[in-house]
Amino acid sequence: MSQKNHLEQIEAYLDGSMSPEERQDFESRLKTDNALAEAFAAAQSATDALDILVQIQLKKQLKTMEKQRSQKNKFSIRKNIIPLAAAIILGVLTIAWFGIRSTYSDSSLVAAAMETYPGTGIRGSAEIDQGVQAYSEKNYASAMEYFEGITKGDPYYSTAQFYLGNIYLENGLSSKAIRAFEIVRDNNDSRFAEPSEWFLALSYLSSGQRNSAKEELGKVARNAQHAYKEQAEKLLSKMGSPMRSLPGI
Amino acid sequence: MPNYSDQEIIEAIREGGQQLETVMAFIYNESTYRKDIFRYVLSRGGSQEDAEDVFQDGIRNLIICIRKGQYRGESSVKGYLFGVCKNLWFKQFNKQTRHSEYKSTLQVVETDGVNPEILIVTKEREEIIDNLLGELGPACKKVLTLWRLSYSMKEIAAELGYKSDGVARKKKHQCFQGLLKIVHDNPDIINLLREKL
Repeated sequence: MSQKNHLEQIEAYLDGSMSPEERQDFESRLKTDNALAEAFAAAQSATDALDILVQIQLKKQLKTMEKQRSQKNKFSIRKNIIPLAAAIILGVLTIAWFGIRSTYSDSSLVAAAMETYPGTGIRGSAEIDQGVQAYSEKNYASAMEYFEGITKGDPYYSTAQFYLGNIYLENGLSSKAIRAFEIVRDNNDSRFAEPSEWFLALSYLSSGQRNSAKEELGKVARNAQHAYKEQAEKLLSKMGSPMRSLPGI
Repeated sequence: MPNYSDQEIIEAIREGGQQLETVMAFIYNESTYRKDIFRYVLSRGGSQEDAEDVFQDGIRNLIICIRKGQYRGESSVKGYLFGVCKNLWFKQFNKQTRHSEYKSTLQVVETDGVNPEILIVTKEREEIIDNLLGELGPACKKVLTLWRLSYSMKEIAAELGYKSDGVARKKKHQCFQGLLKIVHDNPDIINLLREKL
């Protein structure tokens, strides 16, 4: 048999394209045909060398898979970054919104502008003196009892209502504070005229009556001699801030 | 990606061709195979890169073992691969470190009573043989490699852009003749292949 035929048979054997009978016959002949056995040994060395190329090929394929995997991971990280960034932005905006709200909301503006009216230097009846004393000590419950006991017609009614207004405003009872300061304003008690206008404006703002607050503050700010002119201007300016137009402020 | 049983993996690797590639991608990307091996290498001082190399070499070794008929199914594919990777890391670690106290913590692993044999050759030897076979040219190398991996002539033709499987068969025959000549003319190749790995 020629060398060419040997090679074709060996390739067919290695291909696995022989029938079981042909394979058996080929393997038998390997034991008896020296030329075929020699050619087969050479082919085996060649396929052993080829197996190294197979290893290299598998390595290349695995490297390609590694690259694809790392790209996929990068993409997945990128994919995750968008919701993460959105969450961060949302978080920052929320924090900023709370920051703005804590600066520009009605209650925050009132709290920032509010200075407790001093309880010193006012003298009057025994109830007034005791009420003012309790007020100075921030014992508002006790002070309220004294002041609320002073009824309309009492010469110190305006004084009592003025302090009551302050206590109400301080404790968030803005509607009651408005009524108290309006009584003081209407009674034209010169001692409390200017502070009651200022605190009335704050009471309006505290109760959410922004227009009334602006109107009252405008009067104060326009009066060059007014004791609270500067505070009123500042507060009006803050009330006009664009931050106040954000939703929920 | 579909799930494969051990039997399906072994059959696909034995059959070769495109399905071998698919199964190899499954093993490579399946987290249950990867996780244990990475954890093992990382917990023994290896880097991510070391773990990746060991994992890839382990897969290659598994494929070669199965194709050479040396995997007898006495342990699961996952267990066998893990054993191969442990042995590969042991081999690499021995090379890398001189610290005998660490060496003593690593031992060649037997998986279910089977000692997975390392069949893949070193990178250096790969390069030498690749160079000695350089005369074949890239196309012949590719045709013969795919043939050795049991790709059908149709798959080889598609892979290399040949018109038909007949063309691929003819090309493979020519290339194999060329390979025989190179091996015949370079006894170094046979000597290298016979040397202990």
